[in-house]
Amino acid sequence: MKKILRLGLPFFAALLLLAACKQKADFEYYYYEPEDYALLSQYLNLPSKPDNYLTKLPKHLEAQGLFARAVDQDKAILGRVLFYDKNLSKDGKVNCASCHRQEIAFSDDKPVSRGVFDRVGTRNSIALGSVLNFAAYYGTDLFGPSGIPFFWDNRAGTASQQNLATMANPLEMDMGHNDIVNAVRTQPYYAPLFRMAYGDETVTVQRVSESIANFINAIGSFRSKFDREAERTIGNDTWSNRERLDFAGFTAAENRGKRIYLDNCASCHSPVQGRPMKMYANNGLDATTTDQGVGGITKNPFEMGMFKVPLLRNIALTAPYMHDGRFATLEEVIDHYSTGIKAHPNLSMELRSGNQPRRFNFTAQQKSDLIAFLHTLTDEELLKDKRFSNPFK
Amino acid sequence: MSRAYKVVLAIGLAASLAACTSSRFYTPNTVNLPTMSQKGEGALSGATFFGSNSGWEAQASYSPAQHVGLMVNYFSLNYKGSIAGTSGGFFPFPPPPQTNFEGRMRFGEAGLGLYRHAGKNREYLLSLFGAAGQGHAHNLYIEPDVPLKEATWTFWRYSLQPGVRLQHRRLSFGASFRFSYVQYTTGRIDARIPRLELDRVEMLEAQSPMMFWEVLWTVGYHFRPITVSLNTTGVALGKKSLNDLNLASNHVSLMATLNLHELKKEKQSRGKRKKK
Repeated sequence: MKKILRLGLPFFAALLLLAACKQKADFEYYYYEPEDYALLSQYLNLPSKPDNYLTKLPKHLEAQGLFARAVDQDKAILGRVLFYDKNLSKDGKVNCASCHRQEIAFSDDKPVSRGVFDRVGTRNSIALGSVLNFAAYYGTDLFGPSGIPFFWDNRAGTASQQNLATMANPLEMDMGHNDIVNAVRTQPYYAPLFRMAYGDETVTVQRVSESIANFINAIGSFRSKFDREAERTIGNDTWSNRERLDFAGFTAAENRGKRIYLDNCASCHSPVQGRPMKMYANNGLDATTTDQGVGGITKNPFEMGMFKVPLLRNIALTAPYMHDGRFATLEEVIDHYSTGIKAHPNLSMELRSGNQPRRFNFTAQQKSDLIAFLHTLTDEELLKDKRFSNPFK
Repeated sequence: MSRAYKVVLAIGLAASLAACTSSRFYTPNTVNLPTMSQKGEGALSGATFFGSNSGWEAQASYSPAQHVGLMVNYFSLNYKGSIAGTSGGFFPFPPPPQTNFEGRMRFGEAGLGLYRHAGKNREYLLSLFGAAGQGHAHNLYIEPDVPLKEATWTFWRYSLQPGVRLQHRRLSFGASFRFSYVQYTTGRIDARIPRLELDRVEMLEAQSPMMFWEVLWTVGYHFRPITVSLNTTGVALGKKSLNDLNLASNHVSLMATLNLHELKKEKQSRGKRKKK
């Protein structure tokens, strides 16, 4: 037996020593061909290993039936470059990000955006970061008639239609289909990106818009303080109004503001900031309107003066507010709902008291609490997420 | 064979075959549970398997000194299947596209250990073996109309396996818990493989080295000098991250073992009979 021990113990000791050498794995990942990556690196800061553009929404949102659409990673990478490429505008000075700046949740800080040759647009830029996930929120292509269309007047059914309409708009990028294709073809960095996304270098306007759609479909805001607390409190619960419970991580003011929001705002803007309860509405900005919004597209008299009801994610960052950017601060917005709603014929039912515009008459304390709550909807991670940043050098 | 044994064997066979799964990240080889009882004894074993998980394995064990054993094992596994390339698939989104994969894993190891008999009639064989081995996996991801994508990685496994075998007439039963320390070392991965798969590979890299238990049970029938055994070796996991990698694979093998000392005895007795 002693002999056995003499033989065996050193072996086991050596084995344990080997096992104790905790060496980390070192995997090599390759994506681009070396010559392609060298070419891309002249113009772009793209990681050698592709970014992950798949989105997994937190469970308090999935419990409401909200799921992110699968995004094609290769197309999203191409879409990111297209999104930030100023060559896709008539004067070479405007890109999508000009009116959708990442640092302010992909919104614009001007009342109405300015396009090529400093042309003044007609409406405020909608914040891409106002929704939990672009694809989980918008899109008549998947949601059918109940899908939420794009633009303030809901005139585009899909992200691709919206992209092309924006690029073609003379007040925005002023690029016809041929202009877009030519602009992309002439840039050397697109050949490898198109090969990765589509298997060949053929540039079509459909491919361009599809790639941008994949990129913006990956953008999502769901990592705010509100989401962290909602996930903890609501969890997988769907029906029991658990969002009404105070959130442990909120301050007293934030919780008071949440209650005010749920009692007065959530019936249009959604309790958990998932999908709004109304696709469009008139919120009494004016008694008579010149910009008819949805009604201007549908010509339906009962839809005149109605505009998209946005979600309020990152609302603290996306001033100025409303479709025309008339309110510079959240205080002004709340003052409007408190005492300023006008009697438009198509005024939303939620904003009426009988035949008169409703007066919420918020106290100063309530206004302050509501603003404190709205600040919890800010997703700081989205603002610095490198996957969505400008890749150009 | 009594009816009870037949029932046990049938249930065991059905259960183990039903539980047969492989993993493209790590599939355990059959635990080599020694059969030697004294110095100079040894055995050679072989198994082959077919279907979506096909391959073969070979094992050898030898006792150079009383209570001391050596073993060498080789495992070759080919597998194929399909995986979801991306997340999603919830209404109203269309189901995510499936990606087919084919792969092979090769693993070789050598070990040293101790054994001794126990029980009134020496019917129990207790053993404790330590082993070290290297494995290599090569996976191909196949999608229509696009080039194949490859992912390969190499790992080392250090293991310690206490085991027990019970010999009852012609039947033998065995069990072992193998403590495995699996350390992935190098890998070369085409990052265009489906995103979810890339996430798993990154998780594999981040989780390495991994420690887990593997459970073996074996039932054998002895036709001197050969033992035919049904073996199942499965990864028993605890950490969620390891479960996400789907490492909980269960390898089932039908193995034939040639007991060299019995073969030698058989030849000797045949020789004696001839002389008579």
